[in-house]
Amino acid sequence: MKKLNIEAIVLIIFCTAFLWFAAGNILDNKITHDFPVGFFASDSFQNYGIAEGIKESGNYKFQPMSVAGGYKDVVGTHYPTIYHLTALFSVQTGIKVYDSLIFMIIFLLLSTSLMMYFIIRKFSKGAAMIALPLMMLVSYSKFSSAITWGQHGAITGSFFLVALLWAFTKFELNNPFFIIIFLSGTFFGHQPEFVFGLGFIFLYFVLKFIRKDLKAGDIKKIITIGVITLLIISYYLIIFKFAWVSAGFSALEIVSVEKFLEGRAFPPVLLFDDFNFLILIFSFIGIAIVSLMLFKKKNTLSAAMLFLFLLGLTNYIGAGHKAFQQRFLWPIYLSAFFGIGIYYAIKFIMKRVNVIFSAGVFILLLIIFIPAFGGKTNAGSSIDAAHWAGFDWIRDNVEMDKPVYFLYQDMIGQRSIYYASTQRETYVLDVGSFIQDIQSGMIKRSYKMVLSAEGGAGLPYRKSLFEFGKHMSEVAERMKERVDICTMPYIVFDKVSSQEALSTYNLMIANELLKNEWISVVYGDNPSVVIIKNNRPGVDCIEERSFNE
Amino acid sequence: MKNEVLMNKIKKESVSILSIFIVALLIFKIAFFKESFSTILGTVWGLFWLIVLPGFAIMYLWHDKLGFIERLVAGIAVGASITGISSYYLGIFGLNISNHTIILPIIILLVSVILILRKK
Repeated sequence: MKKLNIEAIVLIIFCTAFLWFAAGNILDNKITHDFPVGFFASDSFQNYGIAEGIKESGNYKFQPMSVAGGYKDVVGTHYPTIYHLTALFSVQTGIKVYDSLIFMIIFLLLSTSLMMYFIIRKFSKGAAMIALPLMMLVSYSKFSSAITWGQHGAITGSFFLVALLWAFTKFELNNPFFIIIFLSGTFFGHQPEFVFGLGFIFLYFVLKFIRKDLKAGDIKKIITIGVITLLIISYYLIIFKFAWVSAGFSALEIVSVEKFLEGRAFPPVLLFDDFNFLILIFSFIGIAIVSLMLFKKKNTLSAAMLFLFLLGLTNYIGAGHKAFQQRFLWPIYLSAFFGIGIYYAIKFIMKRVNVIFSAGVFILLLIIFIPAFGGKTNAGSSIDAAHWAGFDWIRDNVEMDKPVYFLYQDMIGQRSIYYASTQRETYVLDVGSFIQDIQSGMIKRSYKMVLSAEGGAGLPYRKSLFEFGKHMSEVAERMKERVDICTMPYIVFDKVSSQEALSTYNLMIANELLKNEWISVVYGDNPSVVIIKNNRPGVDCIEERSFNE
Repeated sequence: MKNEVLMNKIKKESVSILSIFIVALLIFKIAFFKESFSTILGTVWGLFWLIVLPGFAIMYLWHDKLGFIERLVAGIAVGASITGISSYYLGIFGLNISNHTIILPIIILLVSVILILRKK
């Protein structure tokens, strides 16, 4: 049998195992679902909401109206590649956008693994084969948080970052096409990875300078690459600068894991402890071997592998939470050292390790890894079929220009769910105030609400090419006051809750409103949700009173 | 002579691509065993049409420098980047995304053919 065939067989087995592992752990071995599965956080729904909006509007010139809290002039501020790929895939296949998004993310992770394989392969084909099984862990338990908690931009950007480093290890500066395409890919994929890409290019030039290999031609090449890349990214770069950089999102942030976890909601941060002890031992052997090779003449390969791994520790030098996003890819990045570590350990004993033997080690590791880490499915979602049916009804029946208000639901804290799943301007209850209302013993006429929108960049709109305004201050001003329930055209109530007092209060308010003939239930055939419509918004509809009367 | 070598390579690799398409169907059917075959077929075709084939076509410009599998994998990255960025700009210029699924892969494939012919 030819060597190439063995490699092809190994890669086919790997792709099958990787997808089976991810599909089982996250998607219950299905591509299509009746409601979003694999969505455990607001960020996941945010990404779904934007992709759905792009599919509906046909472009990302503007943020979808629902995502922008009802504004129609907010520019498309987020990393567009994953949204466009998701929307295109959904159009092409007819698969729902939420299923397309998660599927595309898993496909990009598989592609990142294969790209990484070809980086390691330049070091040794045997080590690359041995490295493969560890990569499957990206979709396992805590590691899979990047997928289920919506770090989809980071996954997309990292894919192009790994591809960029592959291009450097393969062609150095001799093939500008790949550098331009992949560097631009990182920018449209997720900007922190673009900055990391620039960081690697800088490191590459430093290494060239140290080994006295830097030529005038190299400088010319990189300037040409820079100018062309700048032209490609220019339109979105302007938006990025005014939307995100001006809002302080690019500021350096030095933070320890402990400090970081104190104050913010984020997927779990990966630590070395999360890896098996033996995996770490072999990985550290690999790191030591690759580090030694950094001082040899052809060191781009070693630099690339070390660079990717060390990105996860850049929280200590200013990358903040972007470093923690990179840690989710440690199973892929560390696999290089894991493979090299085992490969050299075997070589130490056997002297000569051929491809067939490496393929055998790959199979052995796969047999160990799959039962150890597979089959423990966490396929699920923050949302359930009943609530999704309610959102479906809203998407199909509520007029585009009518806002929808949500009173208490158990998932109300995950605000992106609402604009994303309804594709409408939505407002959600401020739970703290609602509890105070209950404690007051009164059925109130007005309630403290919050706009459900993607407001991280301040809802920027364009005044001219280089001048932007932001709607956020208007929103803050508007939402200071409580909202009169009689002005709400559509109100969504939950009939059941894990906290019974809250759903009981919900139903008291609904029953009070339904005493008016112009207010009626428009959707109620659902075990969890009831939606009422007010046909005369603004007309007195409720009298404040004690609910003990 | 050089043309002939390239044409033979394209013919041979077309068969390989077809084989990989069939293998991909099998892989996806194993991984997503609860899914219907028609959905699997649509999914794999969608990936090939939107990302894999356009990227692989462009990678023919380096057919003498990279092996088949490496070109295929790198082509996925090239295809995803070019398709994603082009779709973004086409949308900004007013072409609805629903048209991109037809136009974009065709344009990328045609441009690749032109570039390969010019390179020869």
